[in-house]
Amino acid sequence: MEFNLTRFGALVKRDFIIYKKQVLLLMLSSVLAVAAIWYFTNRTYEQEENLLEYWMSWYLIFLAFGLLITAFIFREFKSPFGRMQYLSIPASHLEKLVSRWSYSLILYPIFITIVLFGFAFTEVDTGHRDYADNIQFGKYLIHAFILAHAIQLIYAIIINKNVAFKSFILSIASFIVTLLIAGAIFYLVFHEYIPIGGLKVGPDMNLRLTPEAMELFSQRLPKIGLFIGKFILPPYLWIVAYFKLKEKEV
Amino acid sequence: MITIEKLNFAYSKKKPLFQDLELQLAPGKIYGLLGKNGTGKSSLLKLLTGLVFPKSGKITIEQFNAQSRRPSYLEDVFFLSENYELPAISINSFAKANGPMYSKFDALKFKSFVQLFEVDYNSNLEKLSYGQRKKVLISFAIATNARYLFLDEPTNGLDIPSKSQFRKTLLSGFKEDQTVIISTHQIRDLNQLIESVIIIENGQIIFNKDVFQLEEKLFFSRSLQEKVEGSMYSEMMPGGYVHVFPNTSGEISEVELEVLFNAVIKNPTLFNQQF
Repeated sequence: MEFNLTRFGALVKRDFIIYKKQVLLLMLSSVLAVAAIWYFTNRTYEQEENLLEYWMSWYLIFLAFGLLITAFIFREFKSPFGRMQYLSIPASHLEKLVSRWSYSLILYPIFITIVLFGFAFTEVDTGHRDYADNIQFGKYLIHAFILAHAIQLIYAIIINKNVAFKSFILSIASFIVTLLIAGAIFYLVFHEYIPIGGLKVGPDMNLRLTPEAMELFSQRLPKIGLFIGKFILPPYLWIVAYFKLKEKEV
Repeated sequence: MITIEKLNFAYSKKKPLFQDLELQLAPGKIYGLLGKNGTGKSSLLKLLTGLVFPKSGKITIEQFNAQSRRPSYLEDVFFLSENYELPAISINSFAKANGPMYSKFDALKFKSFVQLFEVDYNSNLEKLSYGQRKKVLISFAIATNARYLFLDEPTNGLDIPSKSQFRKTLLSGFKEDQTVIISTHQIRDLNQLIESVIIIENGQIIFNKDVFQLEEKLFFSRSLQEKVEGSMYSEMMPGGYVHVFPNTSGEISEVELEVLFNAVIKNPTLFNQQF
């Protein structure tokens, strides 16, 4: 793996010169989207409620825009000539990946957060309770975005055309398949511990297990799962994305 | 030095393009890569640039494996494909965007080449014709001072004066440590440029000779007669027939690449036996 800061700088400069119009257009549409949410939530609800509505809508916009941008982040791959040109640029795969990764995972969230706060600060006191609660919720959103972004980044590399649509379909399909497989495995392992009348999931899980085992399944394993989802899976997927880019052909 | 060893490549399992292909290309030459449609000329250039990967075998250029696409390799390689996409920016911005990626890029040279091709340096790439864009890309390719230039049909879309300008530009920028491979169907455009001829057929290199070897071993002559005794191959051309003979007199004749290509395709064994 090679990483040269000068070359990385030249690559970023190249992208900016070539895509500055698209970047400006994207920034403008982000501002307009946030402004639209702000306007409509202000008109419909009272202060307490509209703030929640504003944040929830913003979260949705943040995720949707972010994943859409990530889907188009390797837009050169759309055509074979674009792929030829991009893949033959004298920069390492790591430099190419990090540049596009940083636009979609670092620059985009920073920009849209500034826009969001810009609007929010026009009416909201920073000590507001809902505001603080929603910031807390925002942390989960950031983790969800990091994970979804890592998956989308892989799709953006391996899929050449209609990335947004195909990745959406693929994500739904793989989610359903994963759920079915996990359900089947769970049933095979635990079917004799499931009480008559059915299984309850969540904190009230009613498997006929020892209290220690119940604690493991209802408390510890979800925490481990969350930890993996937050800190293990995204870097793993970034490594996969790197190798996918390295293997990319015209 | 470019070395290709036991290269196997296919786009689909049923139809292999190259099977155990072997090739060695020394630096300091302009090679003409000739072959019929679909024989894999463009694919070979893509393989050399690392844009597609061999199924097996090895391509090494100096100490680099083309497939690894290392930056130090890519900045010494420029692949000009037959078709391309250019951004909607000015030529000047194009140079500013892409030039710094190549450490030996000469911006002044690029500008002068673009002007020699009579393209306005301030124009937007989007508004240029196919031929004009090709001129910009040819200028850029040469101005990168890359040691390996792989040009796929570079004269396609160029007007007559530009074809001549292309030859002049390429030769003016050519250095002894450079290797230029030109894949083309338009052999006549490059007749005086090519120093070595490579012919691909059925996934194999069936002919690979320097022009000076061809001049030494073969003799090309024109006559009005269809059949001439001792001729290895004859072909009708405007104004009569071109015949290819073994060069027994030591007299030098101009190598007619188009005739040579047809002759070799028809009987590769016969022509290889001459060397």
